[in-house]
Amino acid sequence: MTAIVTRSSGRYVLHLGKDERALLARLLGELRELVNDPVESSVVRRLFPAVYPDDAEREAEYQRLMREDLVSSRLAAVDVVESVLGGSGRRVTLDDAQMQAFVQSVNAVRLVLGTLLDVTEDEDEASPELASSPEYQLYAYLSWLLDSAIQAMSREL
Amino acid sequence: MSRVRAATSSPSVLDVPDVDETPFDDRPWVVIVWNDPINLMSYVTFVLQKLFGYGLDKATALMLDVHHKGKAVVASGPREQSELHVFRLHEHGLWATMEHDE
Repeated sequence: MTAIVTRSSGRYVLHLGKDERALLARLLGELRELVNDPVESSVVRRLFPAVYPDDAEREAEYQRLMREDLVSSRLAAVDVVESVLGGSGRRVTLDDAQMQAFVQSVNAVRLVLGTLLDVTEDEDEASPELASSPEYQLYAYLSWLLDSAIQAMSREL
Repeated sequence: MSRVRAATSSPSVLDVPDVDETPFDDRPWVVIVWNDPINLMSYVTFVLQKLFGYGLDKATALMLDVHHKGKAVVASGPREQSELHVFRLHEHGLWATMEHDE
């Protein structure tokens, strides 16, 4: 497959079709709802992990001070990505900060999907039923998209 | 391994007066990244490079420790600094916790 993320004139370029952009926009909308209105679940625990798993007092204090900041950070990243994906062209160009928001948001969606699917570490170990499910194929697509983005960003480190 | 603890009571009344206070715990904190089946190896390496300024070799070695041993200490220091590190790791979706250095 051709690279989906390239670099041009100091900016990143995502080569995404209309359908792919619409798909990402839908997933980001679902992520926003989940972050805005979290119901205790394995998915929410994965998005907001405990910092002091063995110290309830410190954990409560940390969450009291920092939880809202993590919510805001995730929502801000989703906003940035939605705004850049909203254009009409096939090429989506992003500066460094927008690209950072992109990888954080795509990875957050992967955390949600991967937790719901209860994925294992090795893709080859996925059962045929799991591997052929639409949700798993979406997860695999996002993994490929993220990896492509990371390869492009790693060259700039 | 065991650690020698400072005596908590004085053997002699002639010693310094007994002051009732909690000893200040100045052990450093360590930030731990745990293995999970979702985060990509390339992504974990990238995040460690970006957040901590580690070179590719060091970041890759830490990522492989996480992958093979289940966890790795990626930073250590005072509590507030460590909490900031954990926060940024969580922003990036890594599974991070912190605890006292043992």
